[in-house]
This record gives sequence, C-alpha cells and structure tokens, in this order.
Amino acid sequence: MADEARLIAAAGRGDRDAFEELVGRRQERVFWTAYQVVGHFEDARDVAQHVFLRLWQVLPRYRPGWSFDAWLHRITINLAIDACRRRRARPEIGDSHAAEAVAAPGAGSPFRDQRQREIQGIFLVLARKLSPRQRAVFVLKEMNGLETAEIAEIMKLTPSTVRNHLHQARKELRRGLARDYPEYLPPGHTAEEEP
Amino acid sequence: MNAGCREVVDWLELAREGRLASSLQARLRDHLNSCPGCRQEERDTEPLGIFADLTRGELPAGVENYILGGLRVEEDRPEAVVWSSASIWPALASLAAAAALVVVWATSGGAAVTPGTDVWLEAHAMDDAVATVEDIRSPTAEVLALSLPEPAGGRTEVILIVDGSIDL
Repeated sequence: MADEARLIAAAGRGDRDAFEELVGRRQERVFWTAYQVVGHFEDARDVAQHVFLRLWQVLPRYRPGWSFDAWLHRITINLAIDACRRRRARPEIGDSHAAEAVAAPGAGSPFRDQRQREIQGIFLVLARKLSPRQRAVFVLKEMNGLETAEIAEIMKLTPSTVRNHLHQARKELRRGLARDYPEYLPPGHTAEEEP
Repeated sequence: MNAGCREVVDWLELAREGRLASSLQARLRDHLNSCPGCRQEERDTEPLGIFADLTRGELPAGVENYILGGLRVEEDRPEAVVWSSASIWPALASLAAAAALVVVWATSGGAAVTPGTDVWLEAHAMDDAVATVEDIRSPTAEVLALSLPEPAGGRTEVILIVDGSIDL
C-alpha cells in the first residue's frame, strides 16, 4: 500500500501528523489484540499506548520491505505478555476482569450486538485457564487470521510449538464451552467423546 | 497417545492450512481412520470460530484519547538514561561481531526483570547501521537483542539502556 508506505516513512522522519494517521489506522486492532491477551481493560489500554510510544521510538529503524504489521504484532504481543506476567506477579491487585466485557467508565458498547458482548465475556472467563503464550497464539491465529509460520516468526517460537499452543488453547476453550456454555459450541460440535 | 499419534496431531494444523505434503495426507487419513484418540484430538482442536471477531470491535470510549494523550506527552523521541551492566555482557557477547556502536534499549515496563523473563531490547539510537531485532536466549536471561547484518571486524560496543532494572 503505497499510501501507507509514505505514511510510515514520514512518521519515521518525525512527522507527527503522519504518525497519528498511522495510529488511527491500527489502534483498534492493537487495542483489541492486547485486550484479548491480557484480559483486562486498563492493562490493554496501557499496552496499546506503550505499543505506539514504542513504535514512535523505533520507526526510524524501519526499512521498506519489512512487514509493518508483523512488526506491530510483535511489539503488541511482547508488551501484552509482559503485562500478563506483571499482573500475575501481583496477585494482591486481583484479576478483576469480570464477564462484563470492557467495563470502562463511561464506555459505549464497542460490540455489534448483545451476542457479541456475551461472547467477549465468555472468552475472558474461559481464557483465564490459558497461559499468556497460549492466549497470544490463539488470538493471532483465530482472531487475527495469521498463519502458523507468521505467528512463529512474530513470537520467536518454532511452528511446532505454535501448533502445540494453539491445540492446547482450543481444547481448553472447547472444554469450557461444553461445560459452561454448551449453547455456544459451534454447530456440529458436541461435548461428547467417542465411545 | 504414542509417538506416532503425536506426530499425526502435529500434522492436523498443517493439513488445515493446506500445507501438509501430499505424501503425508494419505498417512494422516489412514491414521485417523484407525485411531479413535486422534479422531477425538482432531475434533477437539478444530477452529472454534465464535471468537473470530473479537479483535474487530470499535474502540471503547476514551481509549483513543488515552493512546494519543500518551503520545502527545512525548514531544520528541526520548533521550534515555544510560544504564549498563557488565553482567549482561556475556549474554550479548555472541553478538559482538561488528564495528558499529550499537545502542539498545531494554524496557521491562518498570518492573524488575528476573532470569527467565522476556526482556525486550530494541534499536533506540544508533548510526545508520541496519539492525534486526531477534531473540537471544542466554543462560541467565531470555532477551531480545540486535544483530547486525554483516560483521565488519573489530569489536561491537553495546550499551544497555534500561527502563527499570535487571536483576541477575
């Protein structure tokens, strides 16, 4: 996208208007990706802010030909996983993200409808059982549509490890859906095992 | 699940992505036909789909201003305070293969970094040498560091600029 390449180049030279335009184009994906990994509104907001601060600092190093989205994903995922670890290291602050999705003060609903809001809440609850890396792999794969090889490059894991994290995440989420929210199991999927 | 099953399970996602070699597709089908455990695994690890749209919502109110507010506080690209630790040198010694002065920035988000923690290092201020951020896994810490494309001989100086602390 030539227009975007120009924006990236201008932002790298210190053009703040170009950078804010770039932020505007990517902030939703960055925030929601961070939110699904960290599972907490304030932390996700902080991660998104830090992602773009970091981007502003390192954009002069960007070279045409690099995948900008992969670069942004890597910054986002690394900061989100760091945020997960900090939160887990401070149990005294609790894990306050309840099923009410994105309970920001005064927030309007970012969701298309009530069902989407419910699905968000279900994911927050069930994903607590996943490790930060499992969450990150699942989010990149099933929500952002990346391929295993891309995720492996972004997260510096082997493709086999990515597939393993993905399988563990899907199994855990499927088990949780079958147990607590069977009405949300995808059509044709059942909780029963083969005899 | 035996070793053969584990191999087959690893193929499932490759097959879903259309990347499994045709010679292995037949083996995968044969194995699934004869192994109830792997058929169950196949079902258990199918894409879920219902969560697919969760990174596509609009921003909640206030988030855009929060992000931009943080950016506007940073009038310029920051001049970081240099903090260096000799104890990091062994971890980076394998990188010391080029002549350019490399300045890397490590940020731990203000929290102490203990062994085993991912430390994010990135280019912050350096001359025009092109660098690539990549993983370096040392015995004492898991870090990201810079590698320079072509060793030019001589010695690389590495200065760590740390926001937070490294506790090794």
